[in-house]
Amino acid sequence: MRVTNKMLANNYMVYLRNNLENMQTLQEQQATGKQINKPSDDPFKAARIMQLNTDLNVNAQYKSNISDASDFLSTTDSTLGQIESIFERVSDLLSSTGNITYGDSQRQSIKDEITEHIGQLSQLLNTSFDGTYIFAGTRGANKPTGVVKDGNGNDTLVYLDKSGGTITNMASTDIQNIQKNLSTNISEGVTVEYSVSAYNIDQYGPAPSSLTKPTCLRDLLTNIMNNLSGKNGDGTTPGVGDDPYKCLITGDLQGIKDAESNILSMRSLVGARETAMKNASARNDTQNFNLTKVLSSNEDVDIAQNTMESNEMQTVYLASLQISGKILQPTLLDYLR
Amino acid sequence: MSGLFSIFSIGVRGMNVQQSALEVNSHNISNANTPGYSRQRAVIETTTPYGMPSMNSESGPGQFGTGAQVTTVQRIRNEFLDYQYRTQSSINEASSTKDNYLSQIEGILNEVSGTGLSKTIDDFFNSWTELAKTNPDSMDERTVVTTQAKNMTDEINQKYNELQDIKKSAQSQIQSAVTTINSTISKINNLNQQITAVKAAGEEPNDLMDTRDGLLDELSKYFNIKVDDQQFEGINVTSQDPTDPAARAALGNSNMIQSINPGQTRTLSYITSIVKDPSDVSGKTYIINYAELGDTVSAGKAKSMKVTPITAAQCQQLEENRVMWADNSGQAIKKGGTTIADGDTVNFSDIEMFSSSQGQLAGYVSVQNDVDNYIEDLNKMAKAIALGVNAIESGRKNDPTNVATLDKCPLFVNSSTVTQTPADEAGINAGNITINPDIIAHNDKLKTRTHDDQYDYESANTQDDSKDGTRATAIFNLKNSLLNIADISDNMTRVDFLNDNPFSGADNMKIASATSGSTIDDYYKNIGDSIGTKESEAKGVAKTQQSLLDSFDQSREAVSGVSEDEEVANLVQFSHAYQANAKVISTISELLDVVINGLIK
Repeated sequence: MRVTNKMLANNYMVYLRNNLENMQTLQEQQATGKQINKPSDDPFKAARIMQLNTDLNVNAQYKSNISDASDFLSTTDSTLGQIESIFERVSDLLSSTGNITYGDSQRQSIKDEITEHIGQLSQLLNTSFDGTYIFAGTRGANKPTGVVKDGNGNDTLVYLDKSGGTITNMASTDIQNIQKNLSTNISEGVTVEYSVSAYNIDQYGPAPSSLTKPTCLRDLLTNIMNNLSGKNGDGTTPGVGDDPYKCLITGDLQGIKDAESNILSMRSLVGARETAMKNASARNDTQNFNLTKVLSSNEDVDIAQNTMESNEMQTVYLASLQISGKILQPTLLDYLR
Repeated sequence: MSGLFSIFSIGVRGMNVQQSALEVNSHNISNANTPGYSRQRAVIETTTPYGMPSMNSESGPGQFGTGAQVTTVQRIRNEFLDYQYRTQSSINEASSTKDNYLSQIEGILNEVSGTGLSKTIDDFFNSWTELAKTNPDSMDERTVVTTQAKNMTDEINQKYNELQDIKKSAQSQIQSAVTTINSTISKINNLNQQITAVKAAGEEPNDLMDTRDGLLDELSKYFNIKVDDQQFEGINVTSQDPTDPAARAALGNSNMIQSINPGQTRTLSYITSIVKDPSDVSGKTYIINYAELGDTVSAGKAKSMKVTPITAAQCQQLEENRVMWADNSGQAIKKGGTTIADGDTVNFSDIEMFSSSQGQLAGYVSVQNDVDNYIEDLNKMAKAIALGVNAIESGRKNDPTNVATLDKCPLFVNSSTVTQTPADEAGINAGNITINPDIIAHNDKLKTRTHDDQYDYESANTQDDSKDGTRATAIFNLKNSLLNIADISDNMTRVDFLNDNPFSGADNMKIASATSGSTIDDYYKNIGDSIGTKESEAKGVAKTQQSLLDSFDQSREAVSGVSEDEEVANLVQFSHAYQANAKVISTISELLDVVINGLIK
């Protein structure tokens, strides 16, 4: 086939262009550290990388949800612990009233101490974390409980509505909202509750509760205060056969013990949830690690291999430049005299 | 016996021949680097010998030759190679145009870096679960949600606009292509006339033909041309398409260049815009405005015609294609070859669209088609987000026939309408999706609670309390629901969408996953994937076609190219021959001297 000088020159341009293109690809890979920079470089890998990025993103969000829920749960746990120690103290005080040497003045001082404890109990039930009252369910913007003086001049524990007044209707929406627990997603499709409501702490026995047969803390504490003042649990004057002081070490003490075991079961529930959160967090970390590993193996450039390839490419480029220089230059004119 | 003087003239002839050959040689050398130049060769033949046998001729040794002559200057060119090159050039231009534009589109929808629209959509959904945690009533948290939502809609709008820009750029390229084609055609027509004139006079119009071939190469880049040889080296040129003989017959005379009657050739015109005819309420009539010869600058070149009836799909076809067959002055023609006057009404089937299967024009049309498809996919995704999130956020069907189900404060709205009726919501697409400014200004109107669906406005719900973020969590979970996104149409209302993807569970907070659906995120990723695959393929094809074109160019160059070494060798050869012929003359002159001066003293 006839070969002209122009053909040699054209070919040289084509080969040079190819070499430079290859070098440019390697240079891009080295500079960004990524194997592909647009989907068309390798569509299949690109699809995987995009999916992995989304998964990592979602995982990070779940991690944040888990950690927030864990913080909430640990605050709940320590508060429940403090409530439990209040009950223990009240239970000791009630047992001590069985001492026959105790007279009115001792009972009065016990009553004063229990009044203090009622105030503390309300404060603990009003614990807030991150701007929310942790025992107030979905009504967490307002305090759930308060202390008011009842008809006999004793402090009692009550539920408060949003404006600070006492709630008397146990079926009202406020009480229902206090009972609703908060929940969050900790992984795809998994929602867990992480709060405990004041209602569950208060109602230690089967509802409904009344002053004559107390099954909730409010009624029980009112009973105790009345008994300590020498009245019947519901505030009436004792008649024949009523022995308020005996009630202190029988019915009242039993009530406090029931409340304590309720708190214990609440604590174990919270404890179990905390463990579940820790496990979820560990799983999330493992998941994160695995995803990152796969992402890196798909996306990242092997620096050693890339460096070798680019050195090879450079050699080829230099060789092509040299040879073309030798071929393109000489013509017949150089040899005619 | 011719005598010494005839030998003299043989020598002179010889010198002239070598001199002419040298002239052709030097023309080749000086044009060694002229693009499109084919080397020329002086064809040297012997002159007629004398001594034809007849009654009066002597017998003796004969015939004696009478020297040489240059009969013609031949142009070395292989027409088949030209045909190969031009066909391949059309294919190459089509695939490289596609590659070029697809890589631009890929740049717009690139998600590989992990910081694109996909991430923004993830952040939008994540903001809802953040909100649902401890503080769903907090103004700060709600501002984060509305801000993320606005970021997302802004980014969707931007991508929509960028894709539209690509369409516009392809269309303006079509216009400049039409102008270039028309001017090239008129140049070739002129050259054609000159060439036939020269050839008819008996000479070889070599350089003119080189110029014409160069222009034909240029033309083949835009569409696939068909060249028919005519008398006296004239040509008729038209486009290969339409290949269907009936369709071609319907065009009438489809030659863009012809050697006879050059004033009756066809040209191309460019459609500048297609708008609905306001006087026809049925919406089936459109006005097509076009520029004769693609000229939008000169006065009096803008013409128009009415088309009826025409469907939306046919309209889109016209919009993507934009080039029409026209007569010599640029006026559009209809089937049968008659021109369409300015303002005439025609059927869609009458319009002669110029379509080519290869070349840049084909590339621009297919690119627009691709972009239209991607825009449609983006629209579907935007609508899925709008309808899905609105449905769960309000828990309502937004059915205009049932007032109790109306959504009084939707989150995603249509920015191109003033009101927010269900019909306006049905018109949401990627270009006009935005956040309800009412909610941005008063983000307490965002519904996040379990029973908010039963109340027109969030403030009326006294049943649920402030820390109830169940509905917000439900919106977060929407991103895992499989929705029938591919079935969403341009005017689908929320009612239709919910018929396709019904609520499930209590309080209208969950949309049931469809077995053949996909999540919003997956749908968007599929768009990016398909572009990546297409562009990767286009890149490969473009590279292959380019190397094929290079090899055809190589073949042409091998036949028609000037080799400097060869020309220099010829130079040496002809100059020696010239010297030898000159020597003949000086020898004969000496002999003549002997005869004249030496024979008789």
